[in-house]
Amino acid sequence: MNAHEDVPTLKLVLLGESSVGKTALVHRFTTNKFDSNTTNTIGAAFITKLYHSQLKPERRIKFEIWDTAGQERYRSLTPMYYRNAKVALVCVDLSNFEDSFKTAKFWIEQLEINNSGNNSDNDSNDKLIVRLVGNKSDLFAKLSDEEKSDITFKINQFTDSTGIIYNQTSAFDGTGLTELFDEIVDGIDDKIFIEYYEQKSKTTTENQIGSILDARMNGQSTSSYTCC
Amino acid sequence: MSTNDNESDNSVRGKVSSSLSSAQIKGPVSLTPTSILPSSSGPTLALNLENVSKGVTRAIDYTSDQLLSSGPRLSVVSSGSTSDYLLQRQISQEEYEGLTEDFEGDEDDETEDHDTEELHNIISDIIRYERNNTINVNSLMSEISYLDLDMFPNPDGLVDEMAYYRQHIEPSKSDSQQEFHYKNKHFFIFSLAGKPIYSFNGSDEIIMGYMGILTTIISTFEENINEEIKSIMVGDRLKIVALNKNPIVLVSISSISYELMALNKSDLGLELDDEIQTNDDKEENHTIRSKEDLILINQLSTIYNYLLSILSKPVIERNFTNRMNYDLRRILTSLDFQNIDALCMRLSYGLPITKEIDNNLLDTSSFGFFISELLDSSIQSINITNTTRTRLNNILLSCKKLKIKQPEEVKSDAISSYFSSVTSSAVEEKYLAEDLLFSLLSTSNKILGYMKPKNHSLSNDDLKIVLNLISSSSNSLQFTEDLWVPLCLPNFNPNGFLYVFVKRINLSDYFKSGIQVQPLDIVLISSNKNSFYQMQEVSIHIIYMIIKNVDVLNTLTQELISSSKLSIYKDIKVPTIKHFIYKLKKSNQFIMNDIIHVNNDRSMNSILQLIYFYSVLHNTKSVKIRSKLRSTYNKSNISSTTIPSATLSAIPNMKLTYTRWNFPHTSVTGFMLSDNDYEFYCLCNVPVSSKDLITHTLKIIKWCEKNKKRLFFGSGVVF
Repeated sequence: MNAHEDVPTLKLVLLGESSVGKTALVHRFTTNKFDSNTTNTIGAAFITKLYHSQLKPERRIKFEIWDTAGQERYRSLTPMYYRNAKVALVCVDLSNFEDSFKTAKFWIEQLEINNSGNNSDNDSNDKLIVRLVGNKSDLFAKLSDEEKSDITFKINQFTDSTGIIYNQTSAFDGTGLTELFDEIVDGIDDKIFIEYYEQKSKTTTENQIGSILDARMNGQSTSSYTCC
Repeated sequence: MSTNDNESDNSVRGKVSSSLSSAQIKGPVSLTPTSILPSSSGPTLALNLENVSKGVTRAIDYTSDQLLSSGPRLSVVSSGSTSDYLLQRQISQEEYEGLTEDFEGDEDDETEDHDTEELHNIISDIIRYERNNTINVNSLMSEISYLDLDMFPNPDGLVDEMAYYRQHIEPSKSDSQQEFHYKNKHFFIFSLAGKPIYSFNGSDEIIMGYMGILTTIISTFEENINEEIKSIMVGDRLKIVALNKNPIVLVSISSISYELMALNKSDLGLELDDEIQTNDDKEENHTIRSKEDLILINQLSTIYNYLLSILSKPVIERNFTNRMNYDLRRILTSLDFQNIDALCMRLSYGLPITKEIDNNLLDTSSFGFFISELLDSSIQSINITNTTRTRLNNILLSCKKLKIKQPEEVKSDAISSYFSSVTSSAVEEKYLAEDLLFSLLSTSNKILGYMKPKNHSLSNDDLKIVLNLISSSSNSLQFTEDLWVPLCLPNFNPNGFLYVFVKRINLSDYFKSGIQVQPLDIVLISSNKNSFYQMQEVSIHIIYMIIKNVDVLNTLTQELISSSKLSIYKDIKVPTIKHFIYKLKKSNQFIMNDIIHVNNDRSMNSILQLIYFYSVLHNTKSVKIRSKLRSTYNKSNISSTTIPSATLSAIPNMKLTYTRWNFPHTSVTGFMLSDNDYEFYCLCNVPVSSKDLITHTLKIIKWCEKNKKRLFFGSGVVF
C-alpha cells in the first residue's frame, strides 16, 4: 500500500446532488467501510487509492479521486476538479431519483461543454469519460415495482440517447463497486500503460531503481500482450 | 490608559461595543409580549423602561463595599467622581470601580520574598473578611454536583445530573412545547422579515410564533425610536439579547446565571489617579453600558462569524436582495446546522454534543473553546519546547522558498512538477507557494507552528474559525484525504474567500512500535482557488522535512504525547492547585492544565463546575492593588502617588479576586491574579491556607513566565 508506488495515475471526479452518497461511495471504495453518519463534505476532498482490476491484475492504477461537495454554494470551484480528469462519475440517488437526476443532467451538460472545448487539439485519450452512477441500490430494491420500472425506464432512455454508460452501486453493502472500478481500469487504453513505463524507464535508467522498474515494465508489457 | 493586551482583538470588540452603545432605550416604551417567556409557568410580564436593558440584579454578588473598610492597611483611593455617569444606569459603584487599595507605606524592601509576603498580607486581609467572598452551598451529596451550584434554574428540583442534562441542557428539536420551555438556553437565527433559519431547540412549528414576536419587538424599537434593541431583562433570571445583522437577526435567550452576571472588564484603566480616571470614564462610559450584555452578544457574534465564514457577506446579502423571501436555509447544509448546534453548546456549556456525555469525555476541546471565549477570544496554546517550535516554524518558512521548475509544456499530469530549493539558472522558475498566505501546524485544535505574511495577520476570531473547520470535519477527515475548502475569514476580509488546504498526518505510521500519538494537522491557507496541487506539494514537503530526521520525528512525537497532559503536580511541582489558566495578554493566548487533575475525571459534571467557577472568578469585579509589589520589575523607587501621570502606564496594573465556595464536606477556592502582562486563574478543591495559595500561585506564574517560549506560539514566523 505504498502511495508513492510508480504506477500510472488516473484522475477521477465525483459529481452530483448533495446526499446522493458520493463520499460513502469513495469510502467504500478506499476503505471498504460504510459509515451511516457520514457528514456533508465541505469544499472537496482529494483521496488517492492504488487499485488493480480483478481480470487484469497487472493493470495497476493510482486513482486520484476528487470527492466534491454537492451543495450549490461550492459550484464555482468544480471546474478545477474536472480539469484534467479522465473519468467523471455523476451520481444519482436511486431512492430520491427525480431531484438528483435533474442535477446529474446539469453536470453531464457542463462536462460535455468542457469536453468539446478540449477536443480540438487532443486525441480521444484526453477526453473525459462520463459515467452515470445510480447509488443506494439497496434502497432501490425496496421500492415498488412500478417506481423501479419508472426509474429504470428513465435511465435507459437517457443512456440510449447520450451513449453514457450506467452503473448501479450500493455504498451501503458494496454491490457494484468492483464492477464499476474494474470497468474503468479495464477501459484504459493500453497505450497509456506502455507510454507511462517507457517514459519512466527513460528518466530512471541510470540508477538501480530504474532497472527494477524496467523489469517491472517488461513484465507489465509482456503480460499485457498475453492478455490482449 | 487601557492596557495593551488584546491587540488583535481590540478593533473587533470596539466595533461591537460602539454599535451597541447607541442601543440604550431612552423613550418610555412599553411592550407587552405575551409569550416570549421560555418558561411555561411564568406570568405575562410587561416590559417597560425599568426592566428593558437595565443592569442585571446579580444573582451572585461577592465583592461588595464592605471590603472598602476592611483591614487597616487598606485605604480607598478612587472616589465617587465617576458616579455621575454611572447613575444613568443601575450599575452600582463598586461594581464598576472595584476596590482600589493603596499600599503606600513603609515598605522599601524590594525582593521577591517581599512581593510574596505583601500579597500574602492582602489575601489574609481579604480572607479575614471572608464572608464577603464566600458562597455557602447546600449540598446533599458528599461530592460536588453542578446542580448544587447556582448555575441553572431547576424548577422540578432534579437531583440527577444526567436527568437534568437531558431535560434542560441537551438541545432538542422536538415538537413538544414542554420540552422546549424546559431548556436553559435558546438561540435563534431568522431573517429580518421573521422567517426562521435556525433554532437551537424546538421544531419549526414551535418556534414560528416566537420569531414573529421577536421580529415585531425588534422592528418596533427600530422604527419608533430609531434605536436598535439590545437586550430585555425579564425578571431577574431571564435575558433576551438580540444582534441585528441586517438582513439576518440573531437572538439568544438565557436563564443561565453565569451568563447574566454583569461582565466586569478588568482593563478599564481605573487604577490611575482621579483626574485621569474621570477622563477615562467619559470615554469608557459608552462602552461600559453594554458590558453586561457582552457575554451573550459575543456568543451571537461568534455564531454570526460562522455564517460569514461559510457564506461570506456578499453571498448572504445577495440571497436577500436578489431573491426576496429567501431564508438562507437552502444554502446551508445539515453539517452547517450541526456545527451551529455544536457552537451553541460550547459557547453556553463548554460541552460537546455527544451521545456519550455520561462517560468520561476524551475530547475536552469544547471546554477549551468556552475558556477561550471567556478570556476575550484568547487562543489556547500548547506546551512544546522552543527548539521544536522554532524547527516547525522554520519548516513552514522554508515552504515559501520552494521553487518549481516549469517544464515547457506539461503534458502528463502524473509527473506534474519537480521542485528544489536551489536557485539554479533554470529557464522557467516560479515559487511553488506563491499563493500561500498563512500556514498552521496544529494538533487537537491547538497551534504548534504559525507562519504569516509581513503585512497581514489573522485575528484570534479568524484563527478560531480555521481551527473549528478542522474540528468539525475531523470525524470524517482521514489520513488519506486532503481537504480543499473555501472559507471566508470575516476579520481578514468579510467579502471574499480564502482557500484552505488541510492534511492530517499520523506520526505513529512512522514508528514500528505501536506508539499512540494524536494526529498532526497541516493547514495551508491560499489566496488562489486553483492552487490545490501546489499546496499539496507544499504539504508533502512539510511531511518530508518532519520525518526525514529521526531525531526530529522522535522529539516531536514525544512532545506531542506529553503536551496534552500538562500537570501542575508533575511539571510545576505544586500540590494544592488543581487547575490553572495563564493568559499572556500581549499575544492573547492562554495555557491550562488537563482538567483530569481536578476530580480525576473528564466528566460533564466536572466541566460544568469548572465553567461556573471560572465564569464567576472572571466576571466578578477584582480588587485592585496599587503598590510597589512589582517594583522589582520596574526597578523604580518612585512612590506611585508621586509618579507624574505621563509615566503612570508603566505601573503594573495588578488586581486580584478571591472567592471561596463552602460545601458541607469540602470547599473550593478560586483565585485570580492579573497585571499588565498576564491573567492568572486557579482553583483548589482542597482546603488551602492563604500562604500556600499565594506561594503556589506565584510559583506557577513564575514557571509560566520562565517557559513563555515553550507555552505560547506568539505571533508566529513572518515571511
